[in-house]
Amino acid sequence: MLVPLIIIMILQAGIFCVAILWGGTVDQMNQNAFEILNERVINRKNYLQNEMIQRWSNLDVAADTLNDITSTILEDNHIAIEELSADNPVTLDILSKMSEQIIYLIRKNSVTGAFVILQGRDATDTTVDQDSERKAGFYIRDLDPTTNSVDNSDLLIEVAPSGLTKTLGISLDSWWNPQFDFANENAAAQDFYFRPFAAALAHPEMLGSDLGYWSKPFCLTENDIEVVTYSVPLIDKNTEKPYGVFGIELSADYLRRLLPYSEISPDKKGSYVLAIGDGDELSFEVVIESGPIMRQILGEQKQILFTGQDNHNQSYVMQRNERMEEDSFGCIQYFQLYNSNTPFENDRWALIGFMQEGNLFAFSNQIATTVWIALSISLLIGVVSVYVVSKRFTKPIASLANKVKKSNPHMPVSLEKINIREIDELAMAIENLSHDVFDSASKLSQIISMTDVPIAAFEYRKGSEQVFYTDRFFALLGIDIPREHNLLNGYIKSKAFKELLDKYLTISDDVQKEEEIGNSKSYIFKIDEESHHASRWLRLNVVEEEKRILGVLIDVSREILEKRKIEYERDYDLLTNLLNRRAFHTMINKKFSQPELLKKAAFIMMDLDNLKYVNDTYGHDYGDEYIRCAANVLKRFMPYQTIISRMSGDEFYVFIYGYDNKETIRKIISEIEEGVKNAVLHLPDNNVLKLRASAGVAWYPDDSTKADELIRFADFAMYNVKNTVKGAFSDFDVASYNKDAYLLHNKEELNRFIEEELVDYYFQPIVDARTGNVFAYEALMRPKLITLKTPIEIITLARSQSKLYQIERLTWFKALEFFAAQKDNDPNCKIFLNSISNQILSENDFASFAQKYQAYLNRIVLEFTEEEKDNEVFTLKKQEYIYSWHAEIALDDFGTGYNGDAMLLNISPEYVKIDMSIVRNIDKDENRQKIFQNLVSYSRERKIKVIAEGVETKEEMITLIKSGVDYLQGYYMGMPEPVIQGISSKIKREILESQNRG
Amino acid sequence: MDPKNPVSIEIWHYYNGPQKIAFDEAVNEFNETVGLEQGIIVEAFNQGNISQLIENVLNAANKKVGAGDVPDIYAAYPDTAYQVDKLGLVASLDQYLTEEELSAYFPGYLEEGRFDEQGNLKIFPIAKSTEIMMLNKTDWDKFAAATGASLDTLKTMEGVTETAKSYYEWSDGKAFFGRDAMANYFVVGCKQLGVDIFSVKNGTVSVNLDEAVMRKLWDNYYVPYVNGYFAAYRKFRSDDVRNGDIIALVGSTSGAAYFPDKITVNDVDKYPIEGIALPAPVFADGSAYAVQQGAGMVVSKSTPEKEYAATVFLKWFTETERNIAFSVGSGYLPVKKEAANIKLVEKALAESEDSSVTDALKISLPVAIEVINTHELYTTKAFEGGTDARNILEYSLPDLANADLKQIDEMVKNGISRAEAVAQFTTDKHFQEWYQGLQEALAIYNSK
Repeated sequence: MLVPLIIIMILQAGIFCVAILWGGTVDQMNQNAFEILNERVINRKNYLQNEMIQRWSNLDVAADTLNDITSTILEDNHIAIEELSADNPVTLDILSKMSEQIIYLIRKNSVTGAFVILQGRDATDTTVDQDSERKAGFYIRDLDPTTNSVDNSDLLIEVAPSGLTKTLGISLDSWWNPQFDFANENAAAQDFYFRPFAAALAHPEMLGSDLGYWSKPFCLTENDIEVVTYSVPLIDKNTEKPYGVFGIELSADYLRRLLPYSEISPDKKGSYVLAIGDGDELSFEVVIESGPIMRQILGEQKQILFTGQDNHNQSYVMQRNERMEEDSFGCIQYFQLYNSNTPFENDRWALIGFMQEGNLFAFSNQIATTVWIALSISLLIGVVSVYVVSKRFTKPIASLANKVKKSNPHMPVSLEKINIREIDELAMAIENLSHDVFDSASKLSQIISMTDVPIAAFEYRKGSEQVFYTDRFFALLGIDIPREHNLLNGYIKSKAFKELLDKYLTISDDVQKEEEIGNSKSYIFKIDEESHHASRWLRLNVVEEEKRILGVLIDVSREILEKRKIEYERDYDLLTNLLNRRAFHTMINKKFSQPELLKKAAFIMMDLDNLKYVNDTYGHDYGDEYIRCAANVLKRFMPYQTIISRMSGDEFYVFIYGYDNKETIRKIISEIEEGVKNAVLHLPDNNVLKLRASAGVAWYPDDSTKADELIRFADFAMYNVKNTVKGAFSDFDVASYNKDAYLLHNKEELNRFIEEELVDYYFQPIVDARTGNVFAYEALMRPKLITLKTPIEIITLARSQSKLYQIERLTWFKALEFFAAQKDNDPNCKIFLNSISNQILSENDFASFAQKYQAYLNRIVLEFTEEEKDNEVFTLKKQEYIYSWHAEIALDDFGTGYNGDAMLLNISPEYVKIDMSIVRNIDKDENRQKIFQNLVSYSRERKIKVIAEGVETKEEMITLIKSGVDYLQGYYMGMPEPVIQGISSKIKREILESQNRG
Repeated sequence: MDPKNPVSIEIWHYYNGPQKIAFDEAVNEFNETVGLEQGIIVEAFNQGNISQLIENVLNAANKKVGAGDVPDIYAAYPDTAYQVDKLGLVASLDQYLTEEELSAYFPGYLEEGRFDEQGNLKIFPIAKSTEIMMLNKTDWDKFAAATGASLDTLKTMEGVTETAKSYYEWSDGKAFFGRDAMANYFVVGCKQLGVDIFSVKNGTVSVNLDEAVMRKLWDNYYVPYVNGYFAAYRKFRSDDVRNGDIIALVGSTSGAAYFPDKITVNDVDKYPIEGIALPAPVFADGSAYAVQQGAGMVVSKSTPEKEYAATVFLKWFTETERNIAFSVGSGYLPVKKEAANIKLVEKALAESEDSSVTDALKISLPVAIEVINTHELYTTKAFEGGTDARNILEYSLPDLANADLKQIDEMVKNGISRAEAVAQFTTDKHFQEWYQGLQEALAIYNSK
């Protein structure tokens, strides 16, 4: 036991360790460390780059000014740029003028220094002598650019001619020089002048700003502080030759202050290095370093080299030197200081953020260490515990088990205590159990026979000649034991026992026959008792063990009958005793799983035609009777290989299958149809009502081989019948299915539309043609569905689904709901609603509508549409409501469709709306004008106001006004909008103008 | 103090050039050592010169637009501190220093900082300076060899004037001498001759312009100046020496670092020189007084943490070795008695890096230490308007002298001999005009 436990423990710990240490967690943390480093360096680089480009090296304006100064003074004195040598008095004059600019530059660009140097001889003259390398110039410094002094007392002069120093009022630095002396051998201190100057000579085509040069750090004079400069050549405006250089300086200390290494790593173990890269190699020359770690690593070394491997996000491993004890990672971010194709673009300035490996991965290393420590401790504890447990516990338990094994099963056992509480309790329980078993074994048999439970048992010991059985065993089987087989007290010869069982027990075929649970088998037997014309069921549970077979026999008749009843209720419709939907689908699926047995088959979907009428007229009891009547007809066809089901309400499915040809089936179908036609329902008034049903038939395999598709097709065929002739049986027709498919598909959409009221109402203004004011708004339906976008589609679909009532209801309630929600709602404004003429709201709906929108009732103008045939009863009813509310009626689409003159006479509306087919282009078509004028004069006589619809141009509007129209509606006046809109003052003016003209 | 949640202290000073470098070095060292341990971060900002700094502090104290906050520590003379203190913005520092600590400083330096009525310590002395004379010995030697002039003559004001005249004549019209701080000339000159130009007693100020004393000051500055024996061309006289325009100056020991080791004449001719330092000259019949200057540090009234943190830095900065190190880097004088030890200073100078700065300081510092040990140090007491009054003294005489010199140059151009032209200005009448003008200008500072 010890060994496997320890192995499992080590295994578990191992998995745990592997999951944490090699499962990516540590890697991820290291990645994060790189990402954080990278992000910090990028931020710092962006800041510095921005300072360098936008602020410090922003010299364009200054260059212009300096060049202007030079050219003006040169012109005034009639000398050339080559003559601006140190000893020329004009030079002093120029420098004096320039000094103001340079001092301004130091302030403006927030730099630690600024300078100008003049070449003072022919630019191409390269002879070197003491004099020629002394150049006139001006160099000023401000050690602390963050603060400025008004009188320049924070400035120090590094270079300026003595004459100039007298006038500037600025102190000289200890290392002051009157001129720049480039004769010394410190080449680094000369680059800032000669490199941009040479570049200007070599690239005369380039702009001064493209020739700018960021220097490496240098000291201007031996003891001076270390600085970095940016310098650009000065180009003479006339000759376009370079004649000097000017620029700015940043002290190394100042730059270092802008590289706060503590931000890389809070414990100040990181470093920044500003460096210049050499081409594409990962080799850098240090410009400025910040952070003690880097100083320690580099010492006097000025070169940093990286191995080529990009670890993550621009981070590279620094090549080791003897000062480094661990790897250092540098995250390299290049600056964009130079434009491409400029002379110094190969100086790739970069900001490098350094961290030592231990520091960078401090967090993940700590996690790893913690994991190892936790692992070791838990392993140790585990091993010790396992050892102790096994010594302390396993042994006594094993000896206890031994004792139990050896104890006499027929006698109560007695066990010693071993001083482990749980185990002692267990031992005591075993003792008690043993006592109880001993006790009860003797009682069990008695008790069983005393109870009334129909149960009996037998036991057969393998190899024995006899079988033990309990008293009732044979009584349950319903037989008497033949005397000759009977042995002493409940024993019977085994051979005879088997013969008896074989003879009397037949396995029942309509219940689950046997089930196996472990080594126990269960059989159910049916025993027909002729005397009672009833059946009994017995369950025999047999347990076969190594040495014996045990059997228990129970009378389970009640259980079986109950189960059957439940199953029946589950599968059959209570009203008709036909299969219900669920059971039908189960059976259909079963049949379709063996298509070879289906042969030819037909699927009939039948729907009763007048159920609603029966329900409404005679009550639901007769409605049920009506359904039952249909079911009874169908039941007659059960024997013909059919599956018959009541789906729901008045829908029935009949599946006829397994015939060799369609004709036979068709004969059965016509018999069904005949049966339905002939069936009658006796009504309470002694009348009879004929059963009427519509049915659709889909054929297998002609129409489809899939059950669900057949159902759908039959359904479709049935609806076709319903919508046309009714009361007939019709075959499925693919052509018409395809045509109307979208209606079917959209059935659910329509239901959703109605249930969720997915509709917006937009409002289009109707304008008074005399005043130009808004007279009313027409509420226009805007379905919020993707598939059904227009009201026409909704109406068409609703008509085919008999859902027009819901649409009508939606129109009334939703249109008013949206209208009532409008903010700028003028109480004199009317609201036009589109009513469907063959639909009318129920009295309840009317009542609740009137109550809900009482304030709006007298503002309603109901438009009678042309879309449905006129229904006089409904129209009259609607008129009643309208007049009781003091609302009004408009006849829509007057002059087209159903709404002709007759309608006008019938309903005597307050308004007629002239259809846009007459309005369109009325200004260009005299015929239309005549028709319109006729309509207007006809309406005038009857005091009916005329509204022109679909006005889209100014010309149409003017013609209509001239023709005497009362109101105007159309895009020209205003589009339908979700929020009611007024009329633009432009349209209003046009209306008033054409009124005056007319 | 909590190192994890450090207090940040802002210092405004007026150090520039080598002094700024030396001060920044000290601040960095503090931040990386004591500051790191105790949770104090010091940031130092240069505000130009002392008057610029004073203006910025006063603007901030008076909450002028764009002026920012008053810094935690700033350099100030008693006059400025006095003005800010009246606004209730200056912390009293006695509570942060033990008796023992206080006794280590020169009492005169502390006394200067006890300007309020209760005598609380409100200015912390960190570095002091006095005036000495610096001389281009190389050129002096040539002059001395030719004329027999002696350095001893330069011990008195009168001697300097006399020597300047003969140098002018010997050198064919070159000036010999210049001085940086004219207000010091007045204040110390008067004191040497027995007059407190501004006497402050029990809060009342009286301005004492003794005519005889003023005449002496006139004769030993204005007269040689318009004669061309003295000169002041640039911002500081050391810059004039560097350009070969004069060879001697009286200036602050703190400016000695700028004394050149080579001279550039006409931008081209350069030659190395040797420098020499002497105690500043004293009037012949005057007592040995030298000016005591160098701003101390004022701590702004704020939270006890900040005030405490500020004194931690200031105490650290004036620890003997560090105070000497700053002296050696800047030319300022130590403020602790123990540190004003010529041997310690010379040792530190010998150990410091070689540069033109240390070369100049090697000459000046021993003399400066000698001066503070041999002369009485003197400065005026703080009073209302003291800064403005000093400014009047600073510019009154040189402005007049420069304007008159211009006229003289003009007259010389027009053919009048220089001696004749000068004689028109060095009259008693002209002195009286100036004297009366000065008296009027200063009269408003008398307490009523």
